[in-house]
Amino acid sequence: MSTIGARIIVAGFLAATSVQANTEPRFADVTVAAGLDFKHTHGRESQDPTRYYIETMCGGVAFFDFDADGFQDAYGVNGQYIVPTTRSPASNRLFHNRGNGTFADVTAETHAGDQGYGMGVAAGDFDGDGFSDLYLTNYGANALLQNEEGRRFGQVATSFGVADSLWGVGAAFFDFDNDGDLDIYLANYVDYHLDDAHRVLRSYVAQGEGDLSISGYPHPDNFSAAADVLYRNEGDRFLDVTRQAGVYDPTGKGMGVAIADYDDDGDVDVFVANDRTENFLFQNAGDGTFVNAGLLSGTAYDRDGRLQSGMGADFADVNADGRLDLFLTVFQAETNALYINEGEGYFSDVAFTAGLAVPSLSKVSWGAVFLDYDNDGWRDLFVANGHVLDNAELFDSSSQFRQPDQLFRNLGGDSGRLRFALINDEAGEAISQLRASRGVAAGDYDNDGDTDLLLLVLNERARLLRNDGGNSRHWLTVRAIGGQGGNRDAIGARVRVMAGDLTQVDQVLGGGSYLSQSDLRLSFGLGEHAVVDSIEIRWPSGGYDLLGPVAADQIITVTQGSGQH
Amino acid sequence: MRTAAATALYVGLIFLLTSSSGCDDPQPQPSGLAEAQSIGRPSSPGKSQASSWYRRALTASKAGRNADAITAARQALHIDPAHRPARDLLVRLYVVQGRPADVVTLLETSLAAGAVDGETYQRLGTAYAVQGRVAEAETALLRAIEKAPQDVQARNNLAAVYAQSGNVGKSIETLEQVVTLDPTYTLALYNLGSAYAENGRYDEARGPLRRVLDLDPSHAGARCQLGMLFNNLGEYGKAETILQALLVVSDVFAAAHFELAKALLGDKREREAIEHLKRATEIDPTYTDALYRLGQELSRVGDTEGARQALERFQRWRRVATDDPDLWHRVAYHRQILTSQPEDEGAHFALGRIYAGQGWTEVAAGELLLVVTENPRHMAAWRLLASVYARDGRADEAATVLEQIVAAWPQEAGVWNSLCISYMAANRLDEALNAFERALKLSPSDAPLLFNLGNLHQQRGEFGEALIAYRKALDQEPGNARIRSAVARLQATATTTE
Repeated sequence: MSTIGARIIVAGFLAATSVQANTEPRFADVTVAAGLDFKHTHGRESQDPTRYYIETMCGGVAFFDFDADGFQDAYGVNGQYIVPTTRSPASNRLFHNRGNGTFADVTAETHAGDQGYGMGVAAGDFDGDGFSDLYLTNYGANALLQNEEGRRFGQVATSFGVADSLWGVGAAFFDFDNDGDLDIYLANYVDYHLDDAHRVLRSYVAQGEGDLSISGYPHPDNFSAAADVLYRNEGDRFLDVTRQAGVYDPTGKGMGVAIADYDDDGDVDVFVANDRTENFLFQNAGDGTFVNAGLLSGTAYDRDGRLQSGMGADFADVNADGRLDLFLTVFQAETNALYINEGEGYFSDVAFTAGLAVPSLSKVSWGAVFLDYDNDGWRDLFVANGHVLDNAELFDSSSQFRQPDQLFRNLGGDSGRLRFALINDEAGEAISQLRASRGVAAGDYDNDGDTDLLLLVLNERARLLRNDGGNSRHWLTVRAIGGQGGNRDAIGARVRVMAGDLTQVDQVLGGGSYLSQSDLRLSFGLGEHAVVDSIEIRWPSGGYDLLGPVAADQIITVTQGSGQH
Repeated sequence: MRTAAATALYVGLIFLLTSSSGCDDPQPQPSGLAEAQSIGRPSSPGKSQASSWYRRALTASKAGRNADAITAARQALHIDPAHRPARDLLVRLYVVQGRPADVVTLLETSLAAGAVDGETYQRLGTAYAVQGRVAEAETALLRAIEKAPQDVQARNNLAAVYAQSGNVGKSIETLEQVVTLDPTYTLALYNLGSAYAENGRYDEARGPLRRVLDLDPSHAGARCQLGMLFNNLGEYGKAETILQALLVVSDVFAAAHFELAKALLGDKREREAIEHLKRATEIDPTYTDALYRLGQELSRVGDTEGARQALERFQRWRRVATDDPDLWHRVAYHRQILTSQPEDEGAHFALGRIYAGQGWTEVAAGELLLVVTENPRHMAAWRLLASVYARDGRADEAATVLEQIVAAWPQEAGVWNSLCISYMAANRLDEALNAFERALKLSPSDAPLLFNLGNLHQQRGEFGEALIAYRKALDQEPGNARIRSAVARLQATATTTE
């Protein structure tokens, strides 16, 4: 209670100032002003004609609070130079949020830079010490950065047994066995070797085939899959339990990973977006094993049973029916999928009628995050776009390498009339700038009650898009802390917020988007409701907490066991 | 439905099949006229021989004896490499037989021999495209257009090549040129409408598709495509109306049943949708889209066993697509044709051949039965159907089919032989004997018939008669080791018995 009380006092001040005149929110690119000086490199020098496949598939970004000061810090995953060069090695970068809207590069002093060929990042407190650690996926050995009291990181991947050296892409921390510590799901992509760059391979085009004289990145069909790995946290190490847990499948070309309890049975499940092989929906059986429910659930393929070029994924309840729905990004000439959770294990792709399919046909989509950008109580959607081929225009005159990202406003409605509207023009020119975007993380970095975006742009500067005006409606942010045998990050915790006629459900999700980590705090848009009548938190380890009424427009921290139950 | 590329290519092949001067002519032309038409040169003995071989090829082709027709056409070209009707007939025959590599070789040879005209380039480009040689296809088709800028067929096929290589922008641009040149070219209009629709440009898609229906109200593909468009827009009522009307005319349209099912699902009429999904998968047992959706919907209504079966079938065909993408591409190519022309005999026959080659009896038989139902004179389909049953050990069914063939083509000794073998395999020995006797009246010196008659007598325990038959066969083919071996074994057996 005291924790919540303290927060209310502080946040009350914010609340008084945050509810502004009712203006439509816009995103502003504040990267430079915020001091987020991170330029991604994919490692190819401009004069080198050789195209290494890994160059075009990276990478991720993260919002996470490494020093537990209440502000989301930023982490960028970098590539690496592939051929010998006189340049200094590239490195991942950690930026400390100063709390005043700016960031400082603290990579060196915290030892948070990894110099592998970076792909993705997952953040989670795997050792339960209250400080968030990082798992980094690489082309090559992955890295586990153990956070030492928010001051520095130690490289412990080898000692903890998680330095898998395949082409790692998506990863997520989650507690699959509900034993109170965070395990890791690692998605590996394909069996690719740098020498493959010198082979004549079928190129990566929209739907083409045959001999093509233009050099381009290769199609994934040229390579066999690399199997994913499930690591169980044993305390002093991680154990590879892939086979015994029933998630071993050597056919999957894993990309994005999203963790959620989609069947609402109290244990978290795993969705893996696979590239040109069937997607996995591993349903947690509750006994340490999983069953692949992808085929029957309707999420293994597109709505017509066709393979998809799965990239990124995210879960959210978009139609306010209390069930988590799933969004999947895919390649050009395919349609991104919005799988509505119908209950009883079934999903239906409603992307066409929801207005999300057609805008995606000309795009190659990667990261995707659900966010209530205008706090009206309905989950909106941001999609990061950019072609695989840096010379796409040579293959297809209707394609382009750099593409605009997309922001879709959820117009509300049940699953039969669910509609999203593309609102790039209204949301600010920062959304529509042409870039080759990849990973995206959502989070409220300035703690002003609206959700901001952090984007990785291939071979260019990362972008921080600040949400201006999203807090003109009421909001509530909930930070859940697991205790009593639960994982501290409370991944899998289900939060139900009721305010007047508005009821929203969300979960603390693991993974999500594309190779990226979003703010683990849950943001609820409350529209015109200034009071939240009740907050119910159901913990992954069992039990629940009940709070309320709570004033809107604040960030509250709820520790397991602190509320009424 | 990704129809534009495949349909355009198919039409290219149709053009190859039908535009040659002799193919549609029911009566062989006098040789002198044929010679004059082929090269415009004065008649010569060689040219006369070539024309004679060409006429033989034409006759064999019309009788469904494609192998004989190919031999004769080749002979014609051997004598006169510039014999255009023979060349065109041979191209057609190779296409029917699914031999695109031979088409390419033939046309390359023709080009090298001086047939440097737009039509040859156009056909060669199309043949390259069928083989997936997109760069060469593009080059040849561009040459065709250079030679004949008004050639809408070449442009249409070039658009298909661009679509095949993933260049959506150029494909659409080229189709737009085609319909500007010829606003009544229904295929190009259909392709353009399809291409717009596939790329989400629904408003632009409606115009060309509606225009197709103005020009050809019976165009099933355009109606189906519009149905799909309405489904994607969530206008389920409109989709249902157009698709129901389509199915009244042509019930064997798997894609239309599938799209109608989607419309019904959009209106929450799951039970009706399931019936249409079932129908779609009856018409096309390899229709993975429909099988997948059927499995999902049966599962939702609680038909677990039905769902399991549907999804098993879906997985089976998906595995084929994964394990042998080239094979699946060939299947998909012909399936795409059927999405716009559901009763297309050539596509059904091609699928029958592909499935037969894989040993997939049921689906092969399904396709071939569709062909012979529509065209009872399709000898090749009948023969293949019999062969499919025979290889699957279904001798009685093979015999039934062969009986139909001999009834229609009583002079075909080879068919009689097959019928006899089927009777023997089915242990219908008296019928086999009768059949042999009838066959031998037609062709008394046919060595295979005599040899198999020997086998039959031996099976019946009539060793003396067997020996006589074998010896007669050996008289026709003295060097045939198999017959000699049979005689030797029979004599050895007799010796042993004694």
